[in-house]
Amino acid sequence: MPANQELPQLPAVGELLTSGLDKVLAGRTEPAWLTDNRRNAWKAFQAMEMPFWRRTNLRQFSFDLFRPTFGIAEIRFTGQEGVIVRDMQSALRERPDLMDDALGVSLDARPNKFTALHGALWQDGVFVYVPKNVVVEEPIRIVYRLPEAGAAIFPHTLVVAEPNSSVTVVEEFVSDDLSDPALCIPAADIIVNDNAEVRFLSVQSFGRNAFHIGSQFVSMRGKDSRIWWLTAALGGRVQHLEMEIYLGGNGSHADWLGVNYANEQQNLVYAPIIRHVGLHTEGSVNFRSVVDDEGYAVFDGLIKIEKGAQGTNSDLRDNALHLGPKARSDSIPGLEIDANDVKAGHGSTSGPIDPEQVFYLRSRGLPEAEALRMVVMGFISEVVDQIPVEDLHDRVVDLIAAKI
Amino acid sequence: MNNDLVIKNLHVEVDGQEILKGIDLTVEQGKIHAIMGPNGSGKSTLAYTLAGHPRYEVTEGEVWYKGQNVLDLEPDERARLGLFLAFQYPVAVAGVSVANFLRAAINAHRAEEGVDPRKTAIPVAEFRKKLRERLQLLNMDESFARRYLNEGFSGGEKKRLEILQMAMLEPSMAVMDETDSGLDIDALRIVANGINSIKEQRPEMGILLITHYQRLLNYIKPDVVHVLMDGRIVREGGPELALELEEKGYDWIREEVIGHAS
Repeated sequence: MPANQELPQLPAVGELLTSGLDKVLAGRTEPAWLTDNRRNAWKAFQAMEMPFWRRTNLRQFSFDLFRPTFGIAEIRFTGQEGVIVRDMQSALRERPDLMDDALGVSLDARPNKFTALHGALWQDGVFVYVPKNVVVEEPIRIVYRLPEAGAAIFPHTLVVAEPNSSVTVVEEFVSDDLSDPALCIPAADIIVNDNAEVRFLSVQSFGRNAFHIGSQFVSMRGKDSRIWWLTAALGGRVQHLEMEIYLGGNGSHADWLGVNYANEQQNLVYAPIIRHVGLHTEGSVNFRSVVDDEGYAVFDGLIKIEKGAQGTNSDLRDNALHLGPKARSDSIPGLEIDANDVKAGHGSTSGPIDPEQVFYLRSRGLPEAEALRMVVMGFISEVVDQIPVEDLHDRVVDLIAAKI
Repeated sequence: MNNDLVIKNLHVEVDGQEILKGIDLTVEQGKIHAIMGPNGSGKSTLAYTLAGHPRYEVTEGEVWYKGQNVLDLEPDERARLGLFLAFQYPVAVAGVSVANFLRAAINAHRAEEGVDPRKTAIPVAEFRKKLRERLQLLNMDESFARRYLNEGFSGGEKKRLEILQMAMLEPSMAVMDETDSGLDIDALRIVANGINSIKEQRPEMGILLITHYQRLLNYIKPDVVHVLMDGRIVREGGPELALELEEKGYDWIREEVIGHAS
């Protein structure tokens, strides 16, 4: 457990707006550049309007009542020579030199009122540093927890993979069902250098009433670097995640998998962008959405191929399954190409469950509910079965089974 | 207990059109019955109706099996009663492996009301052993069990999977809808041998073979042959009737039936 107790409790956002941020910052011992960043972010937060996201329901949402607190519940890693896995406060004291050019790239990539507030108020998170030529076999596990109704957490995951290194980082977002809204504004900055490989899993399984609104950014700045990213949205009330894989290094490669399951009144939005910049980069985006009850799932995805990104090969898919007549999904796979020697494809499907599949399974003796569950699990298994950590795979399967 | 499957005056409509116009048919326990008939005679309608497909609407008649009116039962209840339909066109279900599906299906058969399903579930080792044996019986590679249900299967593989399911679920009454269709002669032989091996192991099982052609009956010897035409059973006989149909086609029966009718 990290030493969060050293940090002072903060007043609610509404009170901070009157009392100002200075008093809070005065009690900190942080690098000066970080304090400057906080001041700028706080100014930006105050100046900005609420973002207008057509498909994200922020009616009745107000920042004022949320009280910032700490989000790390657990860091699990037995340790390995040279590998740093530290809570952010300790890391900032010990090795700010390894962090300063990477910390906050996700906030800079998507400036809005939420990321600005994160930039001003974030207190904890996890720094993962893998030195050159080091292969980390054991997955690094992080659990972020929303402790109670009214709380706001700003968990920040920072991963730097040096050349020829390899690592798996798993972050899980959890909470109980909450009686009133609580807010998580996550940020993830992931830097992948030459020929390094990062596997990143981000699983959101909050209880009722959690808002999960943030930005995650993977910078594939190294040549021949590889990212494998699996994201799952299963819980909470509203999710809006803006995400980007920036394929800057020549020959860099991205595999991106997602599962989004919105039921009850959940509104879960994924907005992934895969940006091709270097030569001969490859990207594959494959998401699955399931909606039931009055759930609303959104896949607002984009392949962006920048000028000069010759030899790009990219594909983006989202398939949605509708289980209830009132459930909705929107799939907006976009394509913007400013280079000429590229291969790119995108597409989406959506539709109800195939009754012939259900009948086929029932004809073998499976009760209807079980047949339905099997078809739905089959639909998402192409994504879920790739979760390389067994207990997490089983937990995700159980969470989904409970929603069907 | 009498474990014959008894069909009485069965009338069935599909999309408002009457396809079966009063079928009377008894499939005896332990016997192999064949239903032959030309295209459009109602063979598949009979198969789907017995399995309880919602598209097929029974307007009149009864189907009795093991003391229950099958028509009152849900499709899965029929299966758990021991009825099995080998589909003419098996359905693909992506993401569901053959092994997981078979285990779930077996456990559904073993489940008892009010008992924790973990108590009645087949032990994993026992399931694996049974699966391995049945795969061998049907000349199927073990990798088959890891594939997704019918996903990307060839016609022959789909039919073999139907037989594998039958071998695993051990029904007491199997309805096989054109299990020979789309198979070349080698695949047909493998499938037919599989059915015969299962029948040898379980002589009490009744089989209703639905087929257009006689060729399947060269490998699986029926005890009784019924001819279905225009929604009615118009002829019944021994195995020799199948040979006669092979030789002379269906037209002579049609003429006779129309002759009788007029």
